[in-house]
Amino acid sequence: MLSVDPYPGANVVLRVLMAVFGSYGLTLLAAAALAVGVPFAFKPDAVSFAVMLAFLIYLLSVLWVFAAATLLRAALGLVLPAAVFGLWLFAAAPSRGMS
Amino acid sequence: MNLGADLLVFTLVLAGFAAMCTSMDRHAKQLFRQSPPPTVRRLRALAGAVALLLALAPAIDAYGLSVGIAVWFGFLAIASTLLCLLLAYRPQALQLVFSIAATGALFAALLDG
Amino acid sequence: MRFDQPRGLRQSMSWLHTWSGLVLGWFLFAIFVTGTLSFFRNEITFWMQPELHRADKSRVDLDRALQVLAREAPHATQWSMTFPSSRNPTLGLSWQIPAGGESRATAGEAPREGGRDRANAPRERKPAGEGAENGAGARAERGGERGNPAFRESAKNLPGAHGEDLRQRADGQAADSARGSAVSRAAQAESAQQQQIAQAAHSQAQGGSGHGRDARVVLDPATGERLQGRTTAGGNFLYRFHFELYGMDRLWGRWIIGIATMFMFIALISGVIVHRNIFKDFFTFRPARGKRSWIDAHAATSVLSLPFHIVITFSGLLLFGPMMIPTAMQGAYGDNPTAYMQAMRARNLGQTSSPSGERAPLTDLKPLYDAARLAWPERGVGSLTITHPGDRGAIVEFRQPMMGGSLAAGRSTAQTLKFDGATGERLDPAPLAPPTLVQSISNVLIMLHRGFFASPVPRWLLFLAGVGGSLMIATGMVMWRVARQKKQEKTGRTPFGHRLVEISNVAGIAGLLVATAAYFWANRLIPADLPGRADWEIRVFFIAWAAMLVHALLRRHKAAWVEQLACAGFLTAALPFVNAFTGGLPLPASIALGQGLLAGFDLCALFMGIGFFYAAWKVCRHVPRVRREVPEASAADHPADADGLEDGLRVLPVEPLAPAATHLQPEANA
Repeated sequence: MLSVDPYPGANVVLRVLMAVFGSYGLTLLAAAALAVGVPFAFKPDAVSFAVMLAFLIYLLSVLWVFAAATLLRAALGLVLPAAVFGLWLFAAAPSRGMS
Repeated sequence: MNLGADLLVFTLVLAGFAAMCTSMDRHAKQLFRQSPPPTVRRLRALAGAVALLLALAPAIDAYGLSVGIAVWFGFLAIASTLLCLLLAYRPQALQLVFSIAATGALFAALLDG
Repeated sequence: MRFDQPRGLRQSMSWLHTWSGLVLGWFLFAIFVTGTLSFFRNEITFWMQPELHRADKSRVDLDRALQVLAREAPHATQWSMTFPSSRNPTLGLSWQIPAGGESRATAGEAPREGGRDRANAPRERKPAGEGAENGAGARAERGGERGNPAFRESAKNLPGAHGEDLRQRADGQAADSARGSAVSRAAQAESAQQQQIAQAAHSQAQGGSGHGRDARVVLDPATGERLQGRTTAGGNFLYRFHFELYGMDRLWGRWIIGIATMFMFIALISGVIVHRNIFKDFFTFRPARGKRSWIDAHAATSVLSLPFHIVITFSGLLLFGPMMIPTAMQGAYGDNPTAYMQAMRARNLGQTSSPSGERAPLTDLKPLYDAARLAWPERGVGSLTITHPGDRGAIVEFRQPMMGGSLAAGRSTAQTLKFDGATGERLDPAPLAPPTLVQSISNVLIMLHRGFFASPVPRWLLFLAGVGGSLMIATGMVMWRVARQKKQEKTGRTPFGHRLVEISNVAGIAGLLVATAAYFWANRLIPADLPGRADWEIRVFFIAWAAMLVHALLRRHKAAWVEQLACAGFLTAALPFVNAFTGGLPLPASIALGQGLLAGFDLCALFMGIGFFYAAWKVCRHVPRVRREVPEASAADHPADADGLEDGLRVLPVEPLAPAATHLQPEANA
């Protein structure tokens, strides 16, 4: 169990900030990675697919930020997937130029 | 026009939901004073679910897969809202509504072919 | 609840649900109500042009229509006709004029060249909202609007009253500069492009016609007489407000709506997680039990049409997808969204015709029209498009009405018949490749959102579900206030935040209903020939809404509710009478003549007005219930509900309402 925070309000504010900006950042990164990294025979599909999934990712990450027990876990829940998507984007990047 | 199919979907869904109502503990008590045995209730729930799923067929047949499913959900919403209000204000009328819906479904099924 | 202390998932989600819903509640309500009305945008516009109500659709005078087109638009690259339907009894003519032609361009038309339009379009209307919105085109567009708003409205709305075909055309196609065969395939064209240029598509509906590249005329089908409908903001104002607000930069409006939609999505899903017994409480509504009733009503309106709420919210987000998630496009296409557009168009439109440059008279259309009517005895002919009239390469294309159509794999199933415009020969274009699975899914979602299959039953179902969604939001907002009622009574004071919610509830819910009704009144009471009358209609809407806000500020909470609901009830229920006395077709006549859309509007207004009255009466008569607290034992069953959302569970009625409800105790199954 965690200790009682002297500034309970700050916790909520930080979570709101994380949900608004952190989750959005994660979503943008995930969308880019999905659009680059998922191969589709018909290329515009990649865009549609990434957009559809992106909104779900945003939703889930916001839910996570508020559901997580501690601020640290909430932040990790954003940073770790972001790292994964970032790596994926980096790995798949060479195919980017061909459009 | 798809009126025959619409009627069939709606009546099937209404009858199905009405059957499901009577299978639920809370509403069964409300309706019969004494809750029927679990087997009866389970059968009713099953019959209701079958009717709901059956209604999907004419909806898809008339409107195609995607719109058909949307239409089906739309009728589900209307039928359940009606029953919800009915149970709140006129619970005694539920059996009547069920009979009308079931007859209507038979009639519509004949009409729709 | 404190986020720094251990708490259950339901508690967290309950907090999230409450606040994500409450913060923008009044705003979401406005989006839902205007969106719900937008399902009948054409019908509303038609109602708002009483001059067109008496059109005779018994037969179509094709020759007269062609004469009008030849006279009005001899140099058009495309002529279109929308035949009368049960959604619109008039004959709509429209045409597209190449830039540099004798266009009716207003001040700000963006320079374009017919042929190259296509290739340039994507760049010009860059999806991420940079192109069209910030570029020269957008400035021009806005300039045009400022310059001549009345024209903008009229250009949009003369045809706006037109059936599904034209409506789709106005929306989808406007984005599509390659008008080649697009009218006929507006639906596909649109859906194809939605993903990428959703917002551009919307704006272009206005932009495209707005700066005068198109012009439209409405005829009486039987006599060929030109009907002059009054200029009106029509259903389009509600429609645009629904997704881009009003009086601000479109991009801003869309972002605001997009963010609000995300709030809605979060509130919706967290609400599902919070709801304890979705199935057990499925049919449960317990009236006259104070907060418990509000919770039931909120849960019922949410759960019973939950699939609709989720689909409509998610597809609403998809419509903003390219704007809100720009990295998807950047990831796949880098800086070259044109390639995306080309790929989409090639798949969805097939090849388009180009003029030969050689003149040739148009073949006699009568036999072609008869052939089309013979081919589709049931569904009839919805629209006719003539591409490059007067050229040897002219194409004549008939299309079934969208009405009664459905979607297959996200495409409309409405069939087309193509003829060579010079020889009258039947053409059989190669069939298009079916859309991919991903395209099908996103197309279906978007088309459902926009009500693209026009048959009446699904449309009414969508409308009713939209009403349910509006009620869901309204009950949720009221519930927050009711949950704090007792505390307020105990302390004897209303905290500032509560008062704020009270005001936003009254002005946001009842006030919006008053404003909407006032908008329809304005349509009939503002003189039909007043310059800029469409803008006045809109002003009346906002003035009425602002007045309701002031009223809510000044009056006590309950009085404000009663007065505004009664006002909305009167204004709405009186609309059929206003219609009859200001030149519209009266309700009995519209029923007798089978003018379903007018009768539908009037009956709906009457019905809803009575509903508002009833609500006012209920609030007026409302006496807070005498309540008795149940011993704490039952409250202990709900350790997770400390947040107040389900406090109502602990309250039992003193007297059961109906005998049959005796056993219906909330704790029975807990």
